[in-house]
Amino acid sequence: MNLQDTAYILRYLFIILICSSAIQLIRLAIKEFKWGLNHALRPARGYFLIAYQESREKSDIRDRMTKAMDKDSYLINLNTDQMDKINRANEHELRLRSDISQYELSRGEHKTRTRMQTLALYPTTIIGRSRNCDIQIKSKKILKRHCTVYRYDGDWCIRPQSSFAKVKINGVEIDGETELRNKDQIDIAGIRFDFIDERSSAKQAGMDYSAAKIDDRYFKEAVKLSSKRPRLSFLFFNSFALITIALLTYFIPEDFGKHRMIVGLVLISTIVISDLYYIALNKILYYGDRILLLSVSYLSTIGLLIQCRFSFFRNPWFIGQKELGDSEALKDAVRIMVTRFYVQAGAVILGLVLILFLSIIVKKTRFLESLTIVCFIVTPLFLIATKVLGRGMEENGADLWINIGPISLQLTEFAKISYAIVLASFFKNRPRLKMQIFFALWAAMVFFLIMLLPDLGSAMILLPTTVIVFVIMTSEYFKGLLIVLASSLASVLAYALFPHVQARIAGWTSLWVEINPRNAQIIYGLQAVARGGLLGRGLTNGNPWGIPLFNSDMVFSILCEEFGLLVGLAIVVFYTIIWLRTGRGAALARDGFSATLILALGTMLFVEATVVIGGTTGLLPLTGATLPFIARGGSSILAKWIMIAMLLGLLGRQEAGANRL
Amino acid sequence: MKEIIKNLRVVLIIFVVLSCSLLIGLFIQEQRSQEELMAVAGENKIALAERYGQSAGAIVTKDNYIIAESVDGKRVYPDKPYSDPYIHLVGDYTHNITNTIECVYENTLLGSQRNIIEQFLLDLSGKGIHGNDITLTLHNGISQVVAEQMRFTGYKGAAVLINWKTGELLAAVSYPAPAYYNLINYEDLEDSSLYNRVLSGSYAPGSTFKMFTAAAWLDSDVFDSDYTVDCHGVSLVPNGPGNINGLSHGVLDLNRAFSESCNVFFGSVGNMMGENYFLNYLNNLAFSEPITLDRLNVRRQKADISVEDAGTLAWFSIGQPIANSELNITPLTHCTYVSAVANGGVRMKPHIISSISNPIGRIVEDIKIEEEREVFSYETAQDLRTIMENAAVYNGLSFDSYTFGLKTGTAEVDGQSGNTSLINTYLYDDEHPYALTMILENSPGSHYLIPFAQNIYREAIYQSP
Repeated sequence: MNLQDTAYILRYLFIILICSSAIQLIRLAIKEFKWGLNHALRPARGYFLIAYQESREKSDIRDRMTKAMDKDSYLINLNTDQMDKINRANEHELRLRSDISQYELSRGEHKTRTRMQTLALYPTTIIGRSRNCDIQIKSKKILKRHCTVYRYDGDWCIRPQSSFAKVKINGVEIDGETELRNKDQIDIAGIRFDFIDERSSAKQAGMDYSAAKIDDRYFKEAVKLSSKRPRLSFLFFNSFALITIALLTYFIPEDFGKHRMIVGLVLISTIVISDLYYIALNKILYYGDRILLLSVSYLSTIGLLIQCRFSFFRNPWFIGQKELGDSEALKDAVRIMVTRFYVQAGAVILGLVLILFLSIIVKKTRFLESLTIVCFIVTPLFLIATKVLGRGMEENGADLWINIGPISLQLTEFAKISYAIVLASFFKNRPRLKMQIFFALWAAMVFFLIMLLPDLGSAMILLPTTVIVFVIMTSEYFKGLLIVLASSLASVLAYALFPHVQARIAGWTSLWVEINPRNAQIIYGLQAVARGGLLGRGLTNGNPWGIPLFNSDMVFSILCEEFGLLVGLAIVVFYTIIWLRTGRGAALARDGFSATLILALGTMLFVEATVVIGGTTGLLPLTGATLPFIARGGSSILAKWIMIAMLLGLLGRQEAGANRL
Repeated sequence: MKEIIKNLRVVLIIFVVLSCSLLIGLFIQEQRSQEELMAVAGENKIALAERYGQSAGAIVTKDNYIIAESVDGKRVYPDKPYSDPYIHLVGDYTHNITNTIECVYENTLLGSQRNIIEQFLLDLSGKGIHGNDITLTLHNGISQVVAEQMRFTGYKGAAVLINWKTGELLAAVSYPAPAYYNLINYEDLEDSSLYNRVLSGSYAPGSTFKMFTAAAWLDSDVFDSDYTVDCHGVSLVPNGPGNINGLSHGVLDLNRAFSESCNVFFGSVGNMMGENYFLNYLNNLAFSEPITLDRLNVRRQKADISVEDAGTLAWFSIGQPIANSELNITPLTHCTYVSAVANGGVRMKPHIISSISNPIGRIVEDIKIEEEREVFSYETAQDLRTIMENAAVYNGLSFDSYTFGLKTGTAEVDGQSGNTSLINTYLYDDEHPYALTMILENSPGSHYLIPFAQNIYREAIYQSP
């Protein structure tokens, strides 16, 4: 049988392998996401507040987990006991209810004696009158959201939520972010709290904190229990990859014969590296997110294989060169096609190697936190550099590529990462209004630069990401709505000002009415999807030629044509899995920065995929963004793998052991 | 922290809804694309070329002449002049002409809309990606002769040859015809050469319409077999048509008037029947109802009289509409009526697709020979046969001992220096049941066509399928 017939039969197998994996992985991801949300309210180990309250009635304080204690007894053993209780609660109930940590502190009418209460702290702990606060204080002197105690870069800080919120530290009123130290006395509208850092207390008492019997094995076991290895999906992934590689290398045209071995080895090596990483993930990061890695591996492998197919199989440009009969021209054509594939494969391999080191660095150090200022400056600089030095307008409608020697870079891809880091730094906890305004001004500048490029795709990705992160981390729904309204207004303005936006919208709205140069790309893409049907036409049997940017912007259409719509749907599922893993990670993260960055990166990937797939299939206006991990482009692939490396490192932080918690 | 968890739950719901919408949206778009976008003329030509070259089935004539096939990833068609009889009906992968087998049967040729079981079985055989082959009712030998005769006349026009017993199309030639190379590249195309005159041509019928006038009169209450007209070349009704050059035919009955194609007689008969009866009769014949040639569209004929005026009706009765009257015929449809006369009044459903077979040779669709409707009563058909066969003899369409029926016609066309010549004939023979309609634009006159018709019949009999 020839390639055409073999690929046509194999499509059934590919659908079974890919779709089964997608179903298994999404089931696990949903299950673990729910588990993550139910177990997200874990107090920070070794840090807490002690509340002092004068009350005549003991029952004024509803406290189910801690007991009143002597003023001097808040040392290690007592709190280890508390943690033990929490861990046991995990063991028995596999859940930690928010009511463990929510206390109502009612001011008694007659204050006859002092009572103390241990209050758990979370990576972000909001204190206020609102029922939704982590520590609720029912007092008219307390604002709805009075202040936030949060952890950043290993340190604990407190910050009043507004200028009306009265907070004193050791008797001195504060109006901004203030670092907390062991035994600092916090006065919140007349109620006194002590901040306790067990490590410092242990040190002062001459005790070794690490030697204390902190037993968190219950929780770790629960994490492991809930993190079943997706063995079947792993097996299916490898089967799919190996069969496809065998198919492509066996049938590679004779013109590329001498590259057959190298191409095969390159493809195999990407699979081997990702497999090794998958197997060793938990050894490297302790808590490694295999579901995330496997989903990304699937996407990346599908992407690399389809790019390999574009390079070597039935490329009409190459066939045209061949028909010219000029042996030198043919050699050049072979070189171009081979180089194109090696660039793509090289980016994947480099990305795979990078995640090994970068994820460890992210997990073990505060490297990302230290990059905040750099990213704050570099993000607009990337965009300005792209505007000044960029090229590609003729080919792709936007000047997004800059040449550095022989290398062509798309700095906007890296700008997205730096933007996410800045976003996480600002919204690692609930920032005050003036900080929000400061960020808004900076973000407005970034978006303006993006529109100047013009890079509609980046705008459509970063804007929803920003809104989602903002709403989740601040709970300011009204402001979120205002941002959405402002964005809509900006979109109308962009439509009026920028011809390329008008062209995109015109192409989209006329999609089912007529075919014209503005919508031909989408229509041809949709025709490809229609040709593929549910089951596809088999790898290499599609007809991508004639669809502008078929290997980058429109690659999803070709995937649907060759692998079938079912695989197309499975690809959507893989992107959803990525977000589910990051959502879970954000809930379980032990500090605000990690949570926010995880959320930002995951949302960014999901939104990008949604925007591209929606644009390719006419559900949304086409933006020019490319499908993460699949579309052609070294910079894009590398940037996406860096994001995954960061995600794996950040997710690994959550169970980093006693030293980190 | 509680708020963050709550917000995450809300965003999760939004994202789940978004993902589900995306999945459903993708499915809907795929279905909608299959229904709407695949049929549009603006299809991706490069992808089409590759797809056809890769997997489209062959199109062959009944005598196994390959009109289109896919070889080494390319779609191959015959060179000119062998492509002339087919190019308008078969078309090409670019779909530059849309009402063609290549375009309308795209899914069949590419095998893209098979049922799942059939597709799976074909996949197992290793032939799943290949499309179905289509065998046409067209006969290459006859088609080439018809095309050759059309080329020989040098006039633009159309010729259709039908088997009047089965409705199978044996030849359908539209002239002029471009070369496939020019059609595919859409260059150097002669004026109106892409126009399929057989299916889409619209012509005033001229005297060939007298067949309908005669049939209507034969079936009417006012029919009088002894009715005669003393023709002096001048119309008997005010503003009615006289004969060309004022030719006087003398006393005529229906039979002679038909052979002489006397305008005076038929103008008078038309007025005798009246406008309402005549138009109702034509409606009963389904004269203006659209017909289809399997999945190909055929232009609808029209018959309407704008004003109640004896002269206008007389002109209408001889097949020459005046004022705002509408009367036009389409070559294929016209041919089906003359076929019905030969077939005892029954019009057979016309076909161009003989069979469709899948890549492993199993026939998945076969021609269904079926009667479309009885357009003339048997008696009327017999009477028409008699007068048409007399007309054939009178006009010299004959060879050997074969029996032909004939009606010629010449129509004047505004803005055209010459006339449109038409001939509507049949060969009444059980072994060679052929009906032929031939139309030439801007040509010398209907009698010019008779020798060409004779040549076509001769070759058709010789190459009898």
